[in-house]
Amino acid sequence: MHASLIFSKSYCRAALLCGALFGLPSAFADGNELPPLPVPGEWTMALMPQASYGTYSNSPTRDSVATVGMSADLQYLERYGMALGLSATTVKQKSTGASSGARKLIQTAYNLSGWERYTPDDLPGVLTLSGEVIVARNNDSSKETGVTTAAAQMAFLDYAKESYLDLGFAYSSYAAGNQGNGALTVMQFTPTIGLAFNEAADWLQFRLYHIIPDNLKRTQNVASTDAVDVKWTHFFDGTGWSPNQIQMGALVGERIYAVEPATVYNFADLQTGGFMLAAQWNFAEEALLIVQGGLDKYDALVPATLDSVSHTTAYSASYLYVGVRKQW
Amino acid sequence: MKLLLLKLSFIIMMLSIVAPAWSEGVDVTEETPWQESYRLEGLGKFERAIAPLNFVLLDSPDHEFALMRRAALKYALGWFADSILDYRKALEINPHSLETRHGIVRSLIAQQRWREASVEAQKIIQLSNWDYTAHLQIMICDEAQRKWTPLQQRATQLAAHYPTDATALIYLARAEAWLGDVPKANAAYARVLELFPVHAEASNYINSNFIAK
Repeated sequence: MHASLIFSKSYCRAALLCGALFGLPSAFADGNELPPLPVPGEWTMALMPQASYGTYSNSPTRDSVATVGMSADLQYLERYGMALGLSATTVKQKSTGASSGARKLIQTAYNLSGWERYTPDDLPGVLTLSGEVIVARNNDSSKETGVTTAAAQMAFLDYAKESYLDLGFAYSSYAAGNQGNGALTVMQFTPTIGLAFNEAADWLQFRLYHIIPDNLKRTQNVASTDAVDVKWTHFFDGTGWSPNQIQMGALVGERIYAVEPATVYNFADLQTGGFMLAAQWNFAEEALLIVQGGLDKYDALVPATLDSVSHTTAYSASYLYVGVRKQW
Repeated sequence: MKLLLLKLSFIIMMLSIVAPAWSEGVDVTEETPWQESYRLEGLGKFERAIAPLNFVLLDSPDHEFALMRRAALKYALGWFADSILDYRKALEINPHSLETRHGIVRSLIAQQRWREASVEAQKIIQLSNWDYTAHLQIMICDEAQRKWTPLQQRATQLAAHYPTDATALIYLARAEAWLGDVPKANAAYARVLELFPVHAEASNYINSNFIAK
């Protein structure tokens, strides 16, 4: 259910390798015919299998969550590309608190995205316009958590890769369900700024989530939420077993029904914070491994029972995510 | 008498050159568009150096050299997208021009469109197998994309074809270093030092490896 990591920046840094000086060959050509050189292609394709597992602590209804997914993307030069993703999530419910009666909530989500890149002379960098549609369907007996989301983003990265700006917008539509709470639509605005420092070996990014749901009955009476997601990334040379980059992040503030790339947080719980740690290894050319772990905090609404009135309760979710990306 | 005749014929010759210009009201000292463009470029006024070329292209929209020169000036101004448009027009006029294709690749590299630049450079290689600049341009793109194995392969072969070229050897050394083959990186850097005994990158690499040893 958690978002995949997006590590798109790579930096060349000076090589600092150790070794011995051996004999110096005087020529490279040995008289044999030289092998053919690789021919640069116009199209690239990448596949990214991924999986995550999380457990809930103090959740009134949920015990654990497991997700497996696969995304494929196709790119034409640096001009445009599209990606298709599919994921299956199983949320194991607690036997005592499962109001729906279902022991497992099973969700399937699809996402289709596309982007186009521009390099106009009026801008000192690259402008990228992108759009995404996410559809999630599940067997939630309330019928309230199925969602269709459309998102768009305009992003700018300067040629020196020292500063980044984007403006994202997402519109999510949730069905009325059978609880009598009515339908819900959610608008989300995500202005983002990123800056490089330490000779581009570090990257700091701030993303504001301003979320406006339109139905208080389904948002714990929250009319809007604001949160800031801060991420710090450090880039390494990445030789041997050392990672190419590590990333630390924290979410400060509150957000509900948030949308991230390829992911919608479609439970009616209010996220009140979180932190994450991630690393990426380029274990082969055109192949990378991403490992991420983190903990998110939420407030959940506990419906009224014979013994108590409705109230909110805090819980947390800790998770581990692994993804492998191979490009051809 | 002979001298007088010579003087007269010289005066008549000069008049025959200048008279048509007078009759058309043209100042013979006026710069041609090319002279003006070169002069302004020499003064670093690239944008103003484009203006005379615009006049040429107004009369002859298919003037290949005017398009190429305007593209080069736009590149110097950092108008890379515009530069590519002019180069593409020039290429339509003369599809055999390797120079024009180099110009396109150069502008694509400036925009960090590494894949597209590589594909364009490959088109040059299809026309001219061991075009040095095209291979160098692909190596620049490979390095930017951290494609160390293709870089190593290309640099090895370029160094074989141009054995006294230090640039190919430096790219080879960098690729070997990133691929973790220190002896081969050392060997390539050592060859660079044979060509440029005070080359800083090569010296630093080899010295740091001696220290580590």
